[in-house]
Amino acid sequence: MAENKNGLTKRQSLNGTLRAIGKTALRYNIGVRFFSFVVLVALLSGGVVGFVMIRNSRDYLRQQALRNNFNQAELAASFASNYIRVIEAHIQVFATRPDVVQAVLNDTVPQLQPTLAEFVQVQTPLNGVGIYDTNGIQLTFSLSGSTTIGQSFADRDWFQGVMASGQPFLGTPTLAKANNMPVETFAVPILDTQGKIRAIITGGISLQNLSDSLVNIGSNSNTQVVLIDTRGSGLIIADQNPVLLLTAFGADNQAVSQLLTGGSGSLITTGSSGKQDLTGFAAVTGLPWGILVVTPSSAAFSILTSLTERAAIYTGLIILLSGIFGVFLVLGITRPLNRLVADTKEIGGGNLDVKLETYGKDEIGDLSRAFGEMTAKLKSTMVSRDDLIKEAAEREQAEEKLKNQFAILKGIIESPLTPIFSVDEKYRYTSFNSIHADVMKSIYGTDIEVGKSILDYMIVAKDRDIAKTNFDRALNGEHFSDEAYSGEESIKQSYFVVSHNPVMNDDGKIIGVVVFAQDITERKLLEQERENYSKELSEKNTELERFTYTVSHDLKSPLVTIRTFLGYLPQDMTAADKQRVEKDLLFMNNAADKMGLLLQELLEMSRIGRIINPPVKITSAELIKEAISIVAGSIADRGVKVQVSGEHVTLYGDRSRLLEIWQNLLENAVKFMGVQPSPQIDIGAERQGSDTVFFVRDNGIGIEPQYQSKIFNLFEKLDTKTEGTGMGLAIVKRIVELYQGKIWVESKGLGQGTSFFFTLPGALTAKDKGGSA
Amino acid sequence: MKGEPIVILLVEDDPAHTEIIKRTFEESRLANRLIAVEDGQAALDYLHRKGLYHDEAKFPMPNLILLDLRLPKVDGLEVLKIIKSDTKLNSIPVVILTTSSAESDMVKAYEWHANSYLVKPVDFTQFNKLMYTFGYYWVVWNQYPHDA
Repeated sequence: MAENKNGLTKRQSLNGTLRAIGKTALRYNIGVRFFSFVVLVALLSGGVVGFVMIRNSRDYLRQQALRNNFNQAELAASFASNYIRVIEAHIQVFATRPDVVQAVLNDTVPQLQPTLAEFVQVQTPLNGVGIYDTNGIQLTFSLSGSTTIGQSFADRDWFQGVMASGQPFLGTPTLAKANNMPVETFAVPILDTQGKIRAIITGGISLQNLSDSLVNIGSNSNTQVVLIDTRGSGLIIADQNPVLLLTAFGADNQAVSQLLTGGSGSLITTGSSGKQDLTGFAAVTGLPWGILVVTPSSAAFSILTSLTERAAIYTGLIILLSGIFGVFLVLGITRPLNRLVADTKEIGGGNLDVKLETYGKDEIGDLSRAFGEMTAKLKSTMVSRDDLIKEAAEREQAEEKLKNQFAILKGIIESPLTPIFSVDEKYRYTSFNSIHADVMKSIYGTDIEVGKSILDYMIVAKDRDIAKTNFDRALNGEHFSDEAYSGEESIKQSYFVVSHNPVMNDDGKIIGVVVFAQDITERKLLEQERENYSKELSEKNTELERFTYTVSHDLKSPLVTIRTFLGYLPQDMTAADKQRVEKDLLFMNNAADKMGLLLQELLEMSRIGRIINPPVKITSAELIKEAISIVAGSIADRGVKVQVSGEHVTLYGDRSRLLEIWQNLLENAVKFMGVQPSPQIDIGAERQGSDTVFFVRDNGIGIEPQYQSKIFNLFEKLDTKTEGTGMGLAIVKRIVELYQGKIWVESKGLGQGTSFFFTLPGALTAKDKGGSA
Repeated sequence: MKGEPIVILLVEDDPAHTEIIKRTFEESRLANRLIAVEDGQAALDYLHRKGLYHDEAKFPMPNLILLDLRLPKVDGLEVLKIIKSDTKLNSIPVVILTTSSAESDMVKAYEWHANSYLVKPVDFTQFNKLMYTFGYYWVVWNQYPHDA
């Protein structure tokens, strides 16, 4: 609080009022200062904004009103000018009419009276028209029987004006006797051919209509439009108030004085009654006249006044609201401060159980929380010894409970017949059940212990790497189950489903991994067996489908041939076409042969794997020799050189089936020798890795790569012209497969020769199977 | 057709069947030119004017292809696929003429946009009737684009 006081003293010179408050009530200084500041700012900003706003809009509106008045004055001036000029023009035209001029020259002017009367009747603004001689004596007048005829008008300004200048002249206004309205006399000279003035014609222009129109130009009922003659002192010649007609408007009026000197514009003037007026004024073009448009300021600025009033009210309201808001703001700061002061006082007095209120997220809140923490720390250091003793007893109890729980857990992990164990973050055992211990022993041959790393027990590198990767995954927080395989290098082969689950302490930190493993070796082996069976079955199915489809198609084809040519035969015989008959018979013969061959080979095919002769021991050399002797005829025909090479193995199997392999391949090689000049076939066996591979190699026509995969298919023939059904290689393949073997072909393409390779693992005796047995 | 004969490419591996088809066409006396090839590869070479079939005058583009399904080297369905995937060839109508009445063959052939599917009848009279009807339909009545 002392510091607070000092801080304040430094700023006391800021404000006299604040100083006074500060001295009497130092404790509430921040609040007062704040309050005054907020109110001041609210007042200042409200006032300034209001003032600027009102002033700006008032100036603008004032200017608009002035401009409006001036515009009206200009409009009225333009209207008056046009109105008078039209009439003047008519009079001027009348003055040059030949009958008028002739009458003047002939001194028969009085006879023009009806003409004048007619003219006045047409030109309604005219009161009367008269003609005067050069001495000013009236010769005639539009009104018949006028008493003024013969009288002299030489004293009139219009007469003197015309005579002096020889030009038309607009006289000063006079009041008409008939209606008391101002009349302007427009005088025009009547000239002879030499341009000499012979008479003067005058037109009295009544200003009544013009006056009525002008007076109504004013937009506002308070607006007064005045037409004045600017010669002399400025006589009023049109006004709403007839009394003022032909009286001087008053030269002391600033607008009038400017108008008399030919100016135009808009002013604020002070009227006779002392009230202020807005006066717009403009000269009437071509006439010695001026227009004044006068609006009392009170009327012109009525909107302005109401605007000002409203703005003042709003400004007041804003000031009031900001003041109230400021007060609340200040109270929001000072009240929690006051409470904090009270609370800290009580804590200072020794009551540590005072619970400090929290005061939100501002600096005061921070302060109160800091106080709270301080109090709490103070209190915690004062915990009594009794509490410590109590705590020790509780801990003992908890330990007992923990031991019991551990025993239960131990019981749980021992119950299932699957391995369970856990490791810490360094892969050291923290627990395991006896089944896991047994498994580890059976695989790696060692007894495991808690506290030792599981990885050290895993003597197979592959197992160790997999296990470590899995532990690391779990230590990174992942729960997962994987199938694991204890590889061929370890002592016993097993399959497991292994679940890894991270163990967390109360803080959520991972401190180890629990692993459950389920032995699924038996299930896995069954699954594999089932998969193999289903694969084999689907292969068999596909083959069967292809077989039945092809059989039906290929057997039907020669049947169509035979039936059709049988149909042709009688026709051709009747026609005694010997050539055709022979051809028919040839086709039928061929088709019948083909059918026979097909049926024979189908029978053969169906026998493979079904009819099994008792297995015998026989060497590959014997089989090859026998096959060559069977095909000897065609070999001799084609002059083929047959060479037997490579090592020979002893086979154990169905003699006639095995013979069929070599026989078919040999026949095939001879058949597809092509035009080779030195045909040759190599037969033998060779070692490829651990397998014994038999081969039949020729230098015949070869097979293009794209057809190599098709040739073992049933009924597949690449060349329609060669004999055979396309079953030979399919039969060979089936026999080879019967002995779990494979058959494949290699050829670099047409003319490059062909090599057939095959294996017969199922027929090999243990000695010849190689190292894998 | 400006009186020009319809060119039919017959793809048939059985020479006996080729002979039968040739005879039925001769007997029907319909203006046509039948060119026979023996396997799928030969058919494709013909249509692509490769190797033996380079001479355009001797081996004109067919207006119609009569295709067997069981063919050496390249299977009939494969030939159909290649024809119908080739924008230069796919407008040529392809009629399948085979001994196979297997459902799977028919479905596959139509899937690959075969224009017709005919099964060779075993009976002589039926075969004659079929070829006669076929000839009338495809040679006399069917209209072909000029520059096919």
